[in-house]
Amino acid sequence: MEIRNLSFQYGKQLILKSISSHIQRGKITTIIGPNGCGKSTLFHLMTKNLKPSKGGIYLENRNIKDISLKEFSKQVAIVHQYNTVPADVTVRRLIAYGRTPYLSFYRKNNNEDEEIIEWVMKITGVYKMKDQPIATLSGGERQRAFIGMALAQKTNILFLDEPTTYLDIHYQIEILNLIKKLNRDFHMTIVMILHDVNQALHYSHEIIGLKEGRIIVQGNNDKIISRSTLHEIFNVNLKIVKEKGKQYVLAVSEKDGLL
Amino acid sequence: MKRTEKNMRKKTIIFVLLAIMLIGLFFVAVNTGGIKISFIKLLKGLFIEYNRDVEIIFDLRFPRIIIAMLSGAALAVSGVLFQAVMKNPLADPGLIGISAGASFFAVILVMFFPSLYFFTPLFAFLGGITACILVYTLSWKSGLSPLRIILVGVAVNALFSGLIEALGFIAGGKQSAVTAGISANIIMKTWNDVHMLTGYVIFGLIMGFCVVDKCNLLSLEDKTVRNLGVNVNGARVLISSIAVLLASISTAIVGPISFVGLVVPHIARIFVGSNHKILIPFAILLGSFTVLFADTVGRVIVYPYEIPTSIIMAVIGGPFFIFLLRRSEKTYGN
Repeated sequence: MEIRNLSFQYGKQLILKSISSHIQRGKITTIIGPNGCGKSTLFHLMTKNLKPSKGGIYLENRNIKDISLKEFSKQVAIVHQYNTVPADVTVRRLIAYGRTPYLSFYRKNNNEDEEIIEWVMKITGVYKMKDQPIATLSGGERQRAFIGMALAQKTNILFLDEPTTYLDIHYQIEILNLIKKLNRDFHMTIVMILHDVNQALHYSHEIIGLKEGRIIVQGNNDKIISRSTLHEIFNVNLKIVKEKGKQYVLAVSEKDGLL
Repeated sequence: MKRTEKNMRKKTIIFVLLAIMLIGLFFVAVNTGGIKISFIKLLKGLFIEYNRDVEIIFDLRFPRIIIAMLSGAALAVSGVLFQAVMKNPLADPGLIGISAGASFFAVILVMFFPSLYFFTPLFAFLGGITACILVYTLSWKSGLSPLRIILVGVAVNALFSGLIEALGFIAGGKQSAVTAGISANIIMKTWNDVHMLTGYVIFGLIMGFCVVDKCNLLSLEDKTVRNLGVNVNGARVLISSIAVLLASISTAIVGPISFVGLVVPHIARIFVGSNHKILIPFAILLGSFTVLFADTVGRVIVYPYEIPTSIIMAVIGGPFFIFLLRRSEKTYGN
């Protein structure tokens, strides 16, 4: 996926300022940046939920604005940050919604769809609770069910908007491991937004650092994340420690007291 | 597996029970009034030999009963569809002014172009669409907030109801025969009205069945639905049109009846859940039952006088609406 000179304006405010980038196939790319930097806007532009003011986004050299919603939904699946569903919908039914792009007035769910739904429920670990209503699930299980719905779309690309928000650390790790597994075992291209810099560092191949509508850094995470780049993106001094060749960002203020 | 099977069985039993109750109510309604007739005599009179009493019942009571059932089904499904489209548990075609809009257009047609009487349903549909567009555009403010739709709907409803009454005065000081014929009752209906209603209602209900999957998807976030390849706005327009059609058609024949589209879907959801594949057929049965029940009660309660169905429904529905409003504050308020 290719982003070319992309700008987005909301009213008079320029939110994205002519950014260009390349999302590598089969890799995990994470977008980080402070609140209001335009990362959500970029996410919505890449998923066809917003239209660019200038420039475009290309999927295998085709501008995504020329791809129909239905066709796009067979190539790109999205897990949004905030999800609602009626209390009595079962896990199985929710995941089955993911087959919608393949259905039409004439074609209803068949054996192939059923197999995919079963497969998804096993991969995401919600098979045991497939007949339970979503409302009875824990936060982590809920999130896995929604990821399951996206997986049932059988796409090569998966977008996730802050998949770990609202979850405690146990479920956060569980979800990130699932994402890693999807990338490793099924070679899915993954693009996500994360708030936690350490999680971004350790679970992705590439990081895009955004600030005020511009890409500040992009590249292999170990090389680009440093004290100075973090300061540039988040405007805060953070200490980086090394442990067994891996970098960890200490997400607490270096100085005692207030910044 | 066990859980779903048990669930399915429970729902089937509820369906069968409701169907039996509806048939029972049908015979009670047939036997309500001056002439009484036994079940066997009725069947004999209908299918085997001529019977004067059965003939009278067939010509006077049957159309009324069938119309009550058809309009009940139409209003209930209309409510289900509006609630799905607006993500609003309080949406009801009567409350948000759709029925009043339809009624206003129908009254205009009957008053000024009586020769076009046969096109009443079509005109009512145009009125319903007009009211629907008004409600949508006036309450749209970067999204449709449930409460704002109700507030704007109440205003639109008041506007059209006022206009209908104004027309009544223009027509001759007191309500004229034409306006009385169209406003709010199932009294004095003939087989002609049944024929007019049946085709449209069946068409609307079949269309309703065609959009069950879309209704189910709309309960997810709009963004999520879009990313499943569904044109959300297109789906909204389609489902709204079907809902307006169903509400307008029944209004054209029986006048505006509020609260059916509110009360029935809610009770139906308690019994069979939120899946529209089951909810819509259930709402058809329950809607028929509810309006026929209200009509029958209206016929007996102050016999030999009659209370119009719309009034019975308002008396039942008003408190129910307040109850829902208070309950939904817990779920939807912030």
